[in-house]
Amino acid sequence: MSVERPEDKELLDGLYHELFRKLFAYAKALLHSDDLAEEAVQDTFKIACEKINKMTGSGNPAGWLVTTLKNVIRDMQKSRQSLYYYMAHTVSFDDIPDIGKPDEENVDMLYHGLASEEDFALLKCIVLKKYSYLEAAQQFGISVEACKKRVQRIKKRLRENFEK
Amino acid sequence: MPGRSNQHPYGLNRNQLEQLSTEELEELLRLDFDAPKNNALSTDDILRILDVIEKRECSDQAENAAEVERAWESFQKDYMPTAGDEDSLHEEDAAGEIPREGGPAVPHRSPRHRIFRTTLIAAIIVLLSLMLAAQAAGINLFKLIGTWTEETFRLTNSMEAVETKEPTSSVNGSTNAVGSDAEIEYTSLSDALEDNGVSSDTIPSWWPDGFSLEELSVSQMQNSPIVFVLYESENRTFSISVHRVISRESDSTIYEKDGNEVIQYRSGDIIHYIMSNINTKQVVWVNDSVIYTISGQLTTKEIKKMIDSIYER
Repeated sequence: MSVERPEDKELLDGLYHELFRKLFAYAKALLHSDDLAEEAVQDTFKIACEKINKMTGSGNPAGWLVTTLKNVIRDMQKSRQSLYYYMAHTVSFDDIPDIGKPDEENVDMLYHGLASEEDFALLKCIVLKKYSYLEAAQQFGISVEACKKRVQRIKKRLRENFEK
Repeated sequence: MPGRSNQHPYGLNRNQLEQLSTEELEELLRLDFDAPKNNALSTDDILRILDVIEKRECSDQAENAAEVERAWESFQKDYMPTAGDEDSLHEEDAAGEIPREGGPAVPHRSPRHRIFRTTLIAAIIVLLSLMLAAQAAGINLFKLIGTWTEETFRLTNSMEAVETKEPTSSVNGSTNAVGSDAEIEYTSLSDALEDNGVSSDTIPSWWPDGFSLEELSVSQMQNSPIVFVLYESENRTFSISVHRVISRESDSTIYEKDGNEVIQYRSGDIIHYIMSNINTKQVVWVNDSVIYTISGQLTTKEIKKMIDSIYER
């Protein structure tokens, strides 16, 4: 759902300009990255667009945004952790001397067949290099939405492979 | 909204927040975020903290405005949903707890949770004060001395260094060094304490009937583990917080209290400071580099009995 009504657009614009720095500071304290923090705030306002009636109906849009941001951050952390988990567990542990730093060459070879070269390069950016989706999208010349969907598709394949 | 009033109904006020460094405020936010549930800070608390941080970090208004404008343009270009977008960006619905309609920005909680939140916030501030003061060789917590006024209780440190051991915890065969970001879920308070280098014999073996374990968490803050447990009965709650200080220095730690007298209760050759704040009781003591706090709707008699149960094993 997009924001259609002028009063909603005005409300969103005002909240964004009033609260962006605060929400960014919150996200940065938790994510320790400017790019990921900004992405969390952008995703929060995207949800606000999608659920603007809920936000305005709450009677406390600023509080609603803080709570939503918290959930977005939890979601980001969980999603990235599970991606890393599927990556690490799809590869033999013998091939990863240090679980915290997977050998990218070995990972490349072992993942062959599960993801195309480009898809896997994208996954590496997100999981190993901790890019935001916007950074990765810009590098690969695609939209943020397309980037997320591609990563979700790769994750689905890894999960299915893991569950075999 | 931030700045609506200077005094927060649960005890956080702007003056206190401004006395904390930005790093301390960020730690407060992280501690709240990591709490499994019943987070101590309301969204108003969080916004008030963020307001203090923002004022410190955004002194250049023009630069700040330009940065927000850049982000806003990026939002409109890269993130804002367009007509026809059906899929959420998220695998799970991130829209969260909605503050009650039309009312102030206070989460809808029962009175006892509200009282408990007061205590927990106070405990967090106390822990932060202890943990985030100047870093140095160490601290002998036996030398922490309690002093108090009408409104505050203060643990003052004599600044003696002490060697401390670095514990590690082992759960399900994997080793988790204290200080890592990993969060382990425990179902037993004894396990949580032992895994974090604290003997389970140092907490009460007795408490009033009718209480059951409601929440148990272990947080890691700058290599110092904090075990937190909440017990609830039908109409009361109390919490036990165990903070194992590994290598810290602290000038002093302030606890909020009301005007009632602080009781120094000696048991097991340790002084336990019993104080009240509104309608909760709190006891604080230090034993072998560990700070223990029990807070809740307990009577002084019950607290003394709980303390005695530690040393009567």
